[in-house]
Amino acid sequence: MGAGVLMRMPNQIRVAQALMIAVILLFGATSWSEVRQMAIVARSDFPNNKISKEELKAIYLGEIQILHGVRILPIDQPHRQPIREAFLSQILKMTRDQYLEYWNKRLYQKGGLTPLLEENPRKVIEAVQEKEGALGYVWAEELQKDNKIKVLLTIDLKE
Amino acid sequence: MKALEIQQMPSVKRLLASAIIVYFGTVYTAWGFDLRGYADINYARSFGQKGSIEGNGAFMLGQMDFFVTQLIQNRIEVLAEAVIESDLEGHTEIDLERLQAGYIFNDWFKIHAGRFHNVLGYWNTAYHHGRIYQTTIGRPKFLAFEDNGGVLPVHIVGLQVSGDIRTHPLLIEYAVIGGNGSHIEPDEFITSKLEAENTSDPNKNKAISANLTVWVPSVPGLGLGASSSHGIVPAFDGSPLDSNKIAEVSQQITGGHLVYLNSGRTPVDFELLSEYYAFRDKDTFTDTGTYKASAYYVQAAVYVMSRFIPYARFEHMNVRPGDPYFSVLNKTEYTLKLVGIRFSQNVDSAIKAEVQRVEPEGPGHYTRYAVQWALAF
Repeated sequence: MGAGVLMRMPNQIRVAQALMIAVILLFGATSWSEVRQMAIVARSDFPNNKISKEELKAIYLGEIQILHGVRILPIDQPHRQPIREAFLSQILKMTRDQYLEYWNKRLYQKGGLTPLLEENPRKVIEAVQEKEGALGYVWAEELQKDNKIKVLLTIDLKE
Repeated sequence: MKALEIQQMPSVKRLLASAIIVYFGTVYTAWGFDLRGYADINYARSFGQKGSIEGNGAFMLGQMDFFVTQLIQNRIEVLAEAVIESDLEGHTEIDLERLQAGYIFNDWFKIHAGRFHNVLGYWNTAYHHGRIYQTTIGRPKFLAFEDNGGVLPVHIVGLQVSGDIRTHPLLIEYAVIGGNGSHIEPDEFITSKLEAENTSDPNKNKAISANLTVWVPSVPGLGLGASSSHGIVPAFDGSPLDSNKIAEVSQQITGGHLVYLNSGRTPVDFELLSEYYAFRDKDTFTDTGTYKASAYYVQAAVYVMSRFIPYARFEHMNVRPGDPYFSVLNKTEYTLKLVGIRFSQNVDSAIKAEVQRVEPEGPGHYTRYAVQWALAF
């Protein structure tokens, strides 16, 4: 429809058209963002079968170090991995710089242990299998049937 | 801690310092190892302060701070902070500011032994010696480190029990320290100073400090707390080993703090820090009575685009004449106002500029301009 025709329309029709376009754009945008499932994994001898989202946040912020009697070793990934950005923005609600600054300050104030960095989801799974108390995040679709690890939590994330 | 020139350090201390650096520089375990450095470079000029070394304007090296932390086993952790700095004559000194070894029984029960920043208020256990994380150039004047003229026992050597108790909807942090008391001794630059005892105690009564801070996870960054310390503080006319006692107080310090931090998780970029301390000094040397004093500060900062941070602070210390503790430390009532701006280039580099107006009791008011580049690496 040309702009000149739109200009000559009654106001109510123009408002209705604008609303329809907005609704189409909104639904279109929603359908374009892909939803993927993130899995929080630990070794099969981890003393519990699930953790809450709040516990997950507290673990990656160093606020929980011991859970169910086990020293937790959170495993992180480099920022170039898309799952890392999704984890920070949608689970911890932080930017990369905010996360870095938070950990720099926390380490200096209280000491302790920063999350261990592994290159990619495959390495995360290997580390989880090897280390007692290790806990990591991977895309659920990358998990294969494995008796050595178990899924503690799954979260739907927009990518 | 009494600062020692490197050349004059006893050989045992030099060996110990070298061993710590070598150990933390070479050891590796599955738990990883963190070594960080903090430094700051300053320029300052004072107007109206008689005899000030800043009267002509001067570039000044700040502190070079080496910080290491490591988990040795999954429950044992070690933390050390060593600072190299220059005194007022430009001599380089090295201080072991923190050395803590601890066993983590649980998140709510940890035991550490060593040298700590005393658990008084908020600032002292939040910012330590590196300047990058504090918004302003310096600490509040009354909260200065002992060898810079502070009036609070900000370091202590002893045993600490601490923990975090997560109880919906609050997070409660507590810490209790029992350790060697402090004493006051003459100082060539600031007349006299408090001295934390690393290897001895001037009396049999251990100093005790405690802190309880409540955080509100639903309002990230909001914390409210109280702290207290008690100790016997003697003053000597020289080194405590071979000089005369000239004063002594039984001192109770009680404080409260309210903070709201821009923690990186809050949508509102705003920061408020405030602390209040009440001193109660009972003269146990000449028995002239009990004296009360107080000190507080309020500091606010606004984060503009996360990088530009204008800030302001008001601080005041109220001292009663005749208080033996403040008299021996040569401290009197003052008010300090400052405004400044901080530019955070990134998480590891910040430039700050500020103007301070210092108004001691009586004449001698002065204005100080200062710029600082603070770094982490």
